[in-house]
Amino acid sequence: MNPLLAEFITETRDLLEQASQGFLALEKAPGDPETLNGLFRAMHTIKGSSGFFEIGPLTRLVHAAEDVLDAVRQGELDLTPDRVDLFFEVLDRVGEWVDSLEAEERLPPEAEDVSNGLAGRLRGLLSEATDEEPSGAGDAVAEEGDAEDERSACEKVGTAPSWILEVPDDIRRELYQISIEGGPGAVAVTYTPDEQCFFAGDDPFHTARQTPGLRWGRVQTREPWPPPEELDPYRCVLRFRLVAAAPVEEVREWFRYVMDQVELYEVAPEDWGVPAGGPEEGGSGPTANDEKGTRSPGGSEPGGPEDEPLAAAVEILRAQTELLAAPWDPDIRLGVLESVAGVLGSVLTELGDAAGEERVAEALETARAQGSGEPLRALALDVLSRLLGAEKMQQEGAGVEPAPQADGPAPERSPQENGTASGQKIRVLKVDQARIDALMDLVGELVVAKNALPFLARKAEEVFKVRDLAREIKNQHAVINRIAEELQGAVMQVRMVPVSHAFQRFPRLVRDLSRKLGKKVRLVMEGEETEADKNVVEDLAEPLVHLVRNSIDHGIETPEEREAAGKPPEGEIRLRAVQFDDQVWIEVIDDGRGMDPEVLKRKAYEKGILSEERLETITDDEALHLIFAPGFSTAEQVSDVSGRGVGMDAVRAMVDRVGGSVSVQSTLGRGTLIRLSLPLSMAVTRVMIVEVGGETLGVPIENIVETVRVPTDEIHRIKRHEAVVLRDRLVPLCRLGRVLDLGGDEAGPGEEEAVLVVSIDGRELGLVVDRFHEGVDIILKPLEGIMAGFRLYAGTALLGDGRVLLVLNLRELVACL
Amino acid sequence: MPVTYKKTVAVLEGVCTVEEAESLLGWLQEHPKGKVNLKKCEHLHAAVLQVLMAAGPDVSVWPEDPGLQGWIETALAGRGAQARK
Repeated sequence: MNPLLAEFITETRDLLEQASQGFLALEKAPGDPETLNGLFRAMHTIKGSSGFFEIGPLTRLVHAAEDVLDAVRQGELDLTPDRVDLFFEVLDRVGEWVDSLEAEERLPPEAEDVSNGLAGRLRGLLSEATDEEPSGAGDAVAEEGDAEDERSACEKVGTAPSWILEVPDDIRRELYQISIEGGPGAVAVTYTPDEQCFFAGDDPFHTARQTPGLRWGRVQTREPWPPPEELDPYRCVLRFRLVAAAPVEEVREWFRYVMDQVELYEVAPEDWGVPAGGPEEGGSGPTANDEKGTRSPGGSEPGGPEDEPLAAAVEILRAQTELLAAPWDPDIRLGVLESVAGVLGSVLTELGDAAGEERVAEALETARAQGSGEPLRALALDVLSRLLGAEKMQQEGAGVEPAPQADGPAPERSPQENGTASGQKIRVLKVDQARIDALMDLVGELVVAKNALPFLARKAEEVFKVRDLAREIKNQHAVINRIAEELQGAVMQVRMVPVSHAFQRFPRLVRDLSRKLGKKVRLVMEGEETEADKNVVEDLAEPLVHLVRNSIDHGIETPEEREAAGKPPEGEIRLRAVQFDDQVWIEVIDDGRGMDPEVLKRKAYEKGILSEERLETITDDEALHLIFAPGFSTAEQVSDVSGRGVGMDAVRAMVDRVGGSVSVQSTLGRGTLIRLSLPLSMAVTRVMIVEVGGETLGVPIENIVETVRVPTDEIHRIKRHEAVVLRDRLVPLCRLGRVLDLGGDEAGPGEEEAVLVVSIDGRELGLVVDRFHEGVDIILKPLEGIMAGFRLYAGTALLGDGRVLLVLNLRELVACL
Repeated sequence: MPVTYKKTVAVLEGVCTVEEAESLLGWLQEHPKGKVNLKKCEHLHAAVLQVLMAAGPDVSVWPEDPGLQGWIETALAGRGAQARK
C-alpha cells in the first residue's frame, strides 16, 4: 500500500477515536470550547489529508461535519443528543470507509449515496440554525483603505488591488517580464485568515510562506495593535498579501482549505505599472520557467530591497536541493533535473565560479544516467557548504534527506504538519506487531537455549572431568542469563500498553445502550493507565463489551425501578483496572439489582446445566459462576442487546485462553462485581512446581490459594471422597499421585500431607502432593502432535536443568474427577 | 524547547509552534525592553509572529534564513516605529 495512504488510515482512526471521545465529553459539558475546537480540528485534519486520495465522498462528508461543528462553535447550533447520534453515525461510516480503504484501497460502492445522504442531513442541521448566516472570516475585520469584498471566494475579475504597486520595482519588473514572455503568470493573493484559525491547527504564516511560486509577501495587522497586556495571542488578526508567479489554479489549489479567506487576482502584465521597454537583464537570472514553480528559483523571497546576492544564492540552492529531494514522477523527473541544472549553472556563474557550468553539466549527465537527482543535489549541497561553512551544512543536509519514494509524486503534506515536523526527530516508532512477536519468540528460544548451559556445565564436570571449563561455562551462563532476562523484560515492556485502549470504546457503548434501553447510566473508569501485554489488552476488549452490556441490560434497573428502590435514578457502571502482583484485575462493577443465586440455580437446573444432585450441594457463590456456563441466560426475553446466553461464555473462553480467571460477587439489590484476573504478560507464566511420585508438575500460580500441611487424622472421609476442613470450609481433596497414577508416598497416621489448595472457577480443591518446590517463570509451550490430545496438561516448559515440566490444566483435572 | 528565555533576550530557534505564543507574550510583557534573537529561527507560527508584531521588541540577531528575515523585517517595521514614538 502507498505509505501515505497507510499513514492516512492510522491517523484517521486516531482522529475518529478522538472525535468520538470529544462528542461524549460534549454531552457532559455542552459547549466546552476546548472540546469543540478539538473536534473541529479532528474533522479539519481528516478532511485535509483525505484530499490527497480519490475518496471524494469521505472528504465531502467530513467537510459537512466540519461545517456543522463550526456552526456549533459559533453558538448557532446546539448539540442535542439526536444531533450527536447523527455525528456518531458519520464517525461510524467514516470508520467503515477507512477499513475498506485499508482492505481494498477504495471506498465501498455505496459510499457516494451514503455520503450524500448523511452530508445532506448534516447540512439540514445548518438550516435549522436560527441565527443569521454563519459568520465568516471577516466579521471583525477592520476594513482598510483598499478594502475588498471579504467574502469573495474566487479571484476577482475587477481591478488589480492597489497594493501590488508596493511590490519592489525589481520584482515587478521581473514578473512583468515573465508574464509577457508567456510564463505562468502572476497571482496577487490577499489572505485574511479566520480569527479562530489557530484553533483549527492552521498556521497561516506557514501557508503564506509556502505559497507556490511566492515572489513577494507582506504581513499586516487588520486592526491596530492593543497594548501587549490586552492582546489575545490566539485570535488571528493578520492579513497576508502575496504575489506568486504561478498559474492561478496552482495557487487556488494551495489555498483550497481556506478558500473563503483568500482573494486571488490574476495580475495582467499592464497591472505591474512597468514602463514598456523597462525590463532588463531578463536572461541572466534564473527565470521561472520551472513549471512546478514551487520555491521558485531566483525568487528573492519577501525581503527588503537589499537582499545580498550571497543570501539569495543560499536560498536558491536550498530550494533546489529540496526540489531534488522530493520524489518525482519519472516522466517529470528529467524536466526537473534539467531545470535545476540550469538554475545551478546560473548561480555558480553568478558566484564567480568559472568551472561551474562544466561541473553542472557533468552532474546532469550522471544524474540522467542514474535517473536520480542525487549527483545534482550533491553538487548543490557542496556549493552550499562552501557558502555556509561546514557546521551549518550538516543541519541543511539533515533537513533535506530524500523523502521515501512514493508511488508517483508525493503531494505536499498539509502545511501545518510540514511546519512542525521539519527538522524534528522521530521519538515514537510505530512498529508492526508481527515484528515484536518475532522478537518475543526469539527471546523465548534464547531463554530455553540458555537453560541448557548449566546442564552443559555439569556434564563438563561429571562426564568430561574438566572442572575449570565447567566453572567458565557457569560464569558465561550467569552473564547470558542476565542479558536474556533484561532482553525479555525489555521486549515485554515494548508490548505493554495501557488498558485504556480497551476502555476507550466504552463511553460510546454505554451512551448508546443506555439511550436505547431508556436507562440512565454513568460510566466511571479507573486505572486506565494500568499496563498489560498488548495481546491481553486486545483480547480484553470483546469480553468487556459482553460484561458491560450485561450490566446495563440485566444489572442496572430503569430509573423508575431505581427510585422505587430508594436509589438515585442514574445507575453507575465502574470499569476498574488494578495491577495486583503479576496480574491485572479488570473489574466491571454495577450498582444495579444484583443476581439472586436461587434464581440462577433454578434456571441452570431447568436448562439442564445443573444436575439435581448438584443443585442440592451448590453454594451461592458457586451458583453465581453459573452465569459463565455455556447456554445459560437469565433474561426472560432475548433482546438485541444481550441475553442470548453466549456472552458470558465467551468471556470465560477468552479469559481461559490467556490464562486468567474470572470471579463474580453479587449482592441482591446492591449490584454485581465481575473481576477478570489476567496475567500481565502472556509470554511468561509463573507456575509452582510440586513433586508427586518423583515427577515434577507445574501448577499455574494464579489458581493457587494456599499451601498447607494437614495431619492425616484431620482428613475426613465422606463416602469415597476425602475432604478437609480449612477455616470452616470443607475442601475436597484429590490425591494427584492416584489420579495421575504416579504412585508416591501416602502419609501414615500421625504424619502430615502436603496440600495445595487451588481455586477453579470459584470452587476450591485440595491437591495432595509429595513435596512443594519453588515457583518459576516459564515459557509455556502448548502440547503438540500426539500429545495435543492430552488436555489434562496445559503445556510444557523447559526447566533450567533441561528437564521438561508438565503444567497441569486444573479445570480439565476437575472435569475428570 | 524552541524558545529559551534569558535575562534580556528571548532566543527563538528552529520552528516555533503555536504553543510558544502565550509564553513569549508573557515574557515580553514582563520584559518591555526585552530583545529577541532569531538567529537560528526557521519558522514562526503565525500566532508567534503576531505576538512579535504587537509587542514590537528589538531584534538582537536577525534570522539566518533570508526569507524569514525579509518577512519579519517588514512585519516589525510598522510597529517598531509606532512603539518608539
